[in-house]
Amino acid sequence: MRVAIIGAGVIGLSSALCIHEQFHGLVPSLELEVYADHFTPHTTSDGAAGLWQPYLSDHGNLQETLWNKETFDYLLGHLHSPAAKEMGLFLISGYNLFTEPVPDPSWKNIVLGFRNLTPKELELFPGYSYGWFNTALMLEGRSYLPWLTNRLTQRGVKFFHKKVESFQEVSGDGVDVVLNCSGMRAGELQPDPELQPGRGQIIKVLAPWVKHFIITHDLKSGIYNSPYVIPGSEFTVLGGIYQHGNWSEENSAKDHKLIWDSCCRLLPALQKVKIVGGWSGLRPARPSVRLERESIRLGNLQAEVIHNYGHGGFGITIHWGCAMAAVRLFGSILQEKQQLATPPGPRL
Amino acid sequence: MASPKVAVVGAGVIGLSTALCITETCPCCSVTVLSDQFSPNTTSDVAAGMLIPHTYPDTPIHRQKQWFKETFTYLFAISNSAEASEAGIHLVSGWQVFKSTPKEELPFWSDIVLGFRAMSEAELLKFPRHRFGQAFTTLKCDCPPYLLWLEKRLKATGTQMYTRKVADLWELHPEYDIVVNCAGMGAQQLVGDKQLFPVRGQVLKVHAPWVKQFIRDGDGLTYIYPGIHRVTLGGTREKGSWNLSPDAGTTRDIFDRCCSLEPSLQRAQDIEVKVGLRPSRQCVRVQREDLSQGGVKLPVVHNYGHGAGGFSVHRGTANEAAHLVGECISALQGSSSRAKH
Repeated sequence: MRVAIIGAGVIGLSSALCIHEQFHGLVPSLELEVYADHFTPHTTSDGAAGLWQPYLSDHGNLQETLWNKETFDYLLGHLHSPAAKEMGLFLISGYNLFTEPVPDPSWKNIVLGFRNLTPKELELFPGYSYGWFNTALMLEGRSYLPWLTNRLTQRGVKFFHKKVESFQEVSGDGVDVVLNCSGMRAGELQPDPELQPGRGQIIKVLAPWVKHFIITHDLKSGIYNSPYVIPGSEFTVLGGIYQHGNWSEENSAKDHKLIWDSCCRLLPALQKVKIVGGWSGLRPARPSVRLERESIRLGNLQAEVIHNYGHGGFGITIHWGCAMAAVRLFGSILQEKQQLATPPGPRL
Repeated sequence: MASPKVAVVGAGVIGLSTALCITETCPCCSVTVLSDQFSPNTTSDVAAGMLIPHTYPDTPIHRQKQWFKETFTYLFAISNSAEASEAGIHLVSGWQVFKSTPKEELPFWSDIVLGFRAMSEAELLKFPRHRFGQAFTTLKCDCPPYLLWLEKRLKATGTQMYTRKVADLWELHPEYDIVVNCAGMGAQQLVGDKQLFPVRGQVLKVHAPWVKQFIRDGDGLTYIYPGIHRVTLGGTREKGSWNLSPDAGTTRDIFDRCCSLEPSLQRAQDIEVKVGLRPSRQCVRVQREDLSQGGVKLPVVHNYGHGAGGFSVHRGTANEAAHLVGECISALQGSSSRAKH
């Protein structure tokens, strides 16, 4: 059975790995193929800083909170493995800052050591009167994606550098299941007005003395439209742009200045840092993640599509929980096709 | 006495910070720093510079707490300013873990560091051999940057600094009116203090930029302290050893102990080995002593014996020493005005 995965960002690659891990050996001649026009380091996932942190509120979407938790626990379990460094995985603590008290987030018990900031800590951040401290994880795309690619290559998964224009292109001809992990451009495969870009821009600097992430919040301007500083293993990311509906992937001088000025106000020592790059990317934003099956009639063939896109600014945060959910959907497809007598056991 | 001449012997963190405090509290003085070693060759350069106090058995706790508080407050302000990166001062969070619950769960400094609390069960899962832990955020002074920054501040006040080995404090008379002894381990020979003894520490400085958190075993022997460019892995506490040469077996042992706390360190690169002798004493000697020889007086202020806790209390003891220098100046001015009558 052939499975085509469209998209080679964190969602596409992790879904492919999860499916192969669960079904290899159970399904006769399972062949996975990844199709993408962009591979690491040119995907949206590569541009993200890589901090595990969901949005402030899950808007009652408990399913997504569960997927976030599954991802965190999965990564935490890998922290002591020899692969951790190669995966780009490490612990990091830091601050979320507010100008007024806010309710605790849905993820307070998922991260480690979540607590409110003390008055003395708040002295570090004039203008902010409330905040949280917690320990979370970094999973750097520029390391994680190559690591996933290596694992997949070892397992015989094939990669095709190709822009897929339609589901027809990859389905049929023995491909029974298509995983649609096309992120921002899912709308080109099937119109989805709910999927909109949440444009972000970042500045990469050398600031190795910064050991904490600092995320400020402005409840009026919305998520990630307020300065943030996220230290990585090779450089520190300065950001604070979220423009809904803006499709431009060009760096804007105006946004650069906004990020620079606001981050330097937050951390005065940043004024002297060396800038080593910048980047703009489009968060594939959607009111909720689209993770569901769809049977598509293509002529006299039926293709089973599993959609897994629309992870906005929390793709890395939620990826493994979604991959496992995609695996469960795949299992149900197999059951229907009677490729499996019974669904796979408790591993799922 | 128009402009008292003060000689500060020693250019580690204690000597330089004491000299700086003197220029701040006694602006009438001229201060000169004399040392056989300057950064990057001082004991301070080997240390990680973490603000986690060492408890001195014979110094009253309230005094140690005061020293630590003053030091923390001073560095906190720098860490929050535009000079933070130049001065090498940065905040770092992490964990201190214990194999068995310590008698004192709340150390005297727990309300001075930031966000001090007991580690949660979930956090302790990362340390299967440890049963109890403390989480907090503190400050780190990276050397050489911090020492170089102190030297820069001193030069700006007109303080001179000379490489010179002082074998006897009386050498400095009559060129200098007051001598401040911040010679660290050198004080054993310089002033014959038999209560001062070395505690040898070997450390590794490695490249592991993904390590953002500190981890310290409560026994004080194993620690991982992320600095600006390198992570310090430690260590040893060998009482009475004067051996400044790195030991290969010790290097292996330190590396293994640190990897068992943080397995990702197996991937660390560019391992540099360093050795320092902690100038240890049952209590830090911050004290005035008026030396006298053949009718001649030489006022001395001692500020040495900080052992494992130099960085943690440096500014507090420097302030106290500078205050004592002020007393010496008053005494000299008093006696010189008496002499006029």
